[in-house]
Amino acid sequence: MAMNGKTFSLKKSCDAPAGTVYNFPHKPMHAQNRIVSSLELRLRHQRFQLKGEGRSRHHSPGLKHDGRDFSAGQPVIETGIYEVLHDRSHRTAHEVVMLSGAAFPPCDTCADRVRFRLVRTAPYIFQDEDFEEQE
Amino acid sequence: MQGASQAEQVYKPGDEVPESGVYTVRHHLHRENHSATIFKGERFPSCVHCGTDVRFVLARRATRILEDADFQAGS
Repeated sequence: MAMNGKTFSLKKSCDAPAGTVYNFPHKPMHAQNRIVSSLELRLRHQRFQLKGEGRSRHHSPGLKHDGRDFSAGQPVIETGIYEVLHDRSHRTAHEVVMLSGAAFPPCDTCADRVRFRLVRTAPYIFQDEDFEEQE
Repeated sequence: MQGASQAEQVYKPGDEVPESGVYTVRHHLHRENHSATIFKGERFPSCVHCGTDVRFVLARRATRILEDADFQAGS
């Protein structure tokens, strides 16, 4: 019987001679810490996303490298730093700050062939509920 | 201030913002550090909760697009 077979093998493993050293598979402590901190970060990220928009104090910060490019004329969805990629390398890529609500502008040289790539989001300071707009 | 030492400069409310970019905002006790975009020429603001105890450190500088020589026609 299968049940008896399991019981037998379990019993048999307990019959090992004294002094036998077993090596149980385990993860090293630093790997466990990595898993814990990864979970914490994920939970924290979810907590940020659950909060409302607008004058928010819970922004999901960080680097963004989703590879999505924006063209001139498209609206800026998120305030932050964008990498500007010019056409035909008339200029090397550079970074600019853009405010949400504006539109990505055309380049004076390569016009609407310029592309923008989101590098890092960060809300404008005066969109944060802890900071009042200055006059 | 030049190079890396500039990134370590700590600013307080009322100081003029020297460079546009993303700043790390350090509050006093009530909230964890967070990032914010702040533009050159503005004044660092005080916090509604921790007042003038809030501090700002430049995390990543970047030019405001309107200040860039290649984007003057649309501005």
